[in-house]
Amino acid sequence: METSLARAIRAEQNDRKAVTDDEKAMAYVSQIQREIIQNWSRPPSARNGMQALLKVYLVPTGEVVNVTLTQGSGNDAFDRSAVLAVRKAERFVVPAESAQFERNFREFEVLFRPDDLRL
Amino acid sequence: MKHSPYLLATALLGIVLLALPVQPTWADLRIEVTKGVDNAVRVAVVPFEWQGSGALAESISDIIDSDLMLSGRFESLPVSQMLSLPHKPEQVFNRDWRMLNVEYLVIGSVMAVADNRYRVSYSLYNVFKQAVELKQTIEGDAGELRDLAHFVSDSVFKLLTGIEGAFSTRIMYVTASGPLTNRIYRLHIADADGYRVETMLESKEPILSASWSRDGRYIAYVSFEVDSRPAIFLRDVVNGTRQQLTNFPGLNGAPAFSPDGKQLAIVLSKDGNPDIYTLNLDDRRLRRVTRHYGIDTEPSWSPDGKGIIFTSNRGGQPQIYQIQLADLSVERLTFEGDYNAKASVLPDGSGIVMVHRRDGIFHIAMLDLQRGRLTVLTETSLDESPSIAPNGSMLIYATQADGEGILAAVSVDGGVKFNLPSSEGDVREPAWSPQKRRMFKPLSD
Amino acid sequence: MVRTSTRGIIALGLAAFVLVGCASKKTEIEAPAPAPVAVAPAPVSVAEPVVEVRKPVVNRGKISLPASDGTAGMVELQGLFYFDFDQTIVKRAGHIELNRHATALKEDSTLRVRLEGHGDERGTREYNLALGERRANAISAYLLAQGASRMQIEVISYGEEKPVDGGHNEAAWAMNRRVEVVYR
Repeated sequence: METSLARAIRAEQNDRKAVTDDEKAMAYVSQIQREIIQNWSRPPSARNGMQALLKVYLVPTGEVVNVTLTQGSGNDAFDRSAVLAVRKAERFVVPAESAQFERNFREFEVLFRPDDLRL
Repeated sequence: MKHSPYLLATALLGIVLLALPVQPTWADLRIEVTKGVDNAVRVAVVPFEWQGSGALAESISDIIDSDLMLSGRFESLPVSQMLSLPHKPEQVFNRDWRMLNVEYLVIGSVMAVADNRYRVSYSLYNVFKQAVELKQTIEGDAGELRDLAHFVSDSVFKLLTGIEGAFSTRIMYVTASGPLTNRIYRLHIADADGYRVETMLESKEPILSASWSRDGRYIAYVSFEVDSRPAIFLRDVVNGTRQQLTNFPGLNGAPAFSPDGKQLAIVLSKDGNPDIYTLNLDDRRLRRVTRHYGIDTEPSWSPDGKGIIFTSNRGGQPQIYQIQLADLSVERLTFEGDYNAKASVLPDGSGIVMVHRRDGIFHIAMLDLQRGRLTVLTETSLDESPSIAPNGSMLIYATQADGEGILAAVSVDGGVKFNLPSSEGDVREPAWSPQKRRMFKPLSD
Repeated sequence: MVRTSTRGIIALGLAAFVLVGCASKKTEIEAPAPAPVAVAPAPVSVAEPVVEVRKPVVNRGKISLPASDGTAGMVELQGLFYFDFDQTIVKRAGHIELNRHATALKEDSTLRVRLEGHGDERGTREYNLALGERRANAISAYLLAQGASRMQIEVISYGEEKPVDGGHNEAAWAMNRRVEVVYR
């Protein structure tokens, strides 16, 4: 009884910690997202619905050390513009806390999928 | 249903944090980017190294720089702001360019390899990736320096935009100069950047509706030079010969080559009303295509050559219609607006561009044939004669600036707009050549 | 010595001429001073009074008819007819003057006229060429209905290619949407 209660309390605390961690991560993520958007110049051949998936590698300072294309759109200019958008950012703001950095930002994916183009 | 704040935030920001159900792992953080700013790409064209004696007649790198600027997609860096002038990738010092926020470099050299023979070696360098994206060597003779430069511009443009460049193409247009009572009309062909103008015809009577054959060998146009009446002429651009194709009573107008170059769609009013006909260029056989008491004019072929779109006022005002040549069935294509005219089909058949009147102002508009959506592309007024570039991404049209006709260009998505270098007098009716003036085969390294 | 019309005096269709000869005040005001003044030669010996009708004079595409006021003057006919945007209907205001042209053509089968249709710069060139032809055809149909012969009339369209007013405003456009009646 007591053990199960203690377990439940611990579980709830963990959940809450996870949620606050998520919320913290969210702030960094949306900042990264904004920076990439600011750097993304789509080529005129880009069309809504195209998708390019990139893997981004950072070091704890937030510096971009590598960007790879894991899934291309079929349009080289589009893919190149996506890679450039990340590379131009050069450095993202990331959590100072090591565990958080390692968990979320050491490497992550960016999916480029425009939906605001005219065509 | 209850949503966790986390899920809600994800939905709002368009960020997907994929978590595996068994073991949540943040390695799967995925940021989704659905928008961009689409600024001009920052390119620095570094003056090419010249390895030869004397001075070159043309600066290849200047021409490339001006081509890229003209396209509206790029922002170039003035030479005066460059911190170094590399000619080879190994000479590039990245920080020089990152500081200036330059994304790509065009670097290279020109070498005299024989009498009147030049070799251009160039690289397109990605500053942020610190890598060469493209490296080519091409050769041409003294008279082809501009062509060599345009070839480089086309290659760079294609790599960075995903669209075939149009800098090696030519533009045909008509100018009218002199007082209204004593006008001189001229038909010109010039490079897409406005240089190397050749005058095909000069007349005291109007010249209009010039169009290219698909292979770029022939042009057809309407001239009033014979007895001040309209007639359709065919001219061989290569050897300069020409012949009069029609001399019917009434209108002889709007010639348009079929995609296979064997026929000309034309407009004749010899049977009482302006109707569309096809003229077989081999046997000169004439076939009447439309038969309506309204005005049918401005024919333009569908890319497969099976149909012709045209302007007709059969519904009361000018609108665009399509007729199938097999069964002569007619379908109306435009319904938005009270004036749609002079349409042409995009090379992929996905849409048409045309003159469209909105709020009393004449603009160029595109109609997406699949989605039925009409988009006005231009903000200028009195716009006319849209002509699609062979790459299908840009179109050139005639408009007015300070009371004079000028040429302007706009991308089919409306995102890029620019005016073309002005020519003397009133400029009108641009027609983009379907072919490049000169092609080069890159040498293997 | 005043140059006289060599076409002489023909007593023909007087009634018709008197009718159409009564040019409106407007036309008389607008018409430039008639250049070639045709004066009938003094009759040498005439047995009985002949009603004389002087021939119309064609100069630089315009036709001048003898004045109806009994003087020796000539009145040049207005040769411009205007149209509304995207319209090919002959305006009622032009009917009287067109009637004079029709009668002149009917009276003298040797007269040849070219109807030149024009449009304003708005819209597309080929469509405007077609509109110009429609306008000229409308004038042609009117003249034919009034008795001119098909042989006498040639129709041509210049579309928007030959404006008379180079402006880019409603006033200029109104001047450019026209058919010019040009005698040859």
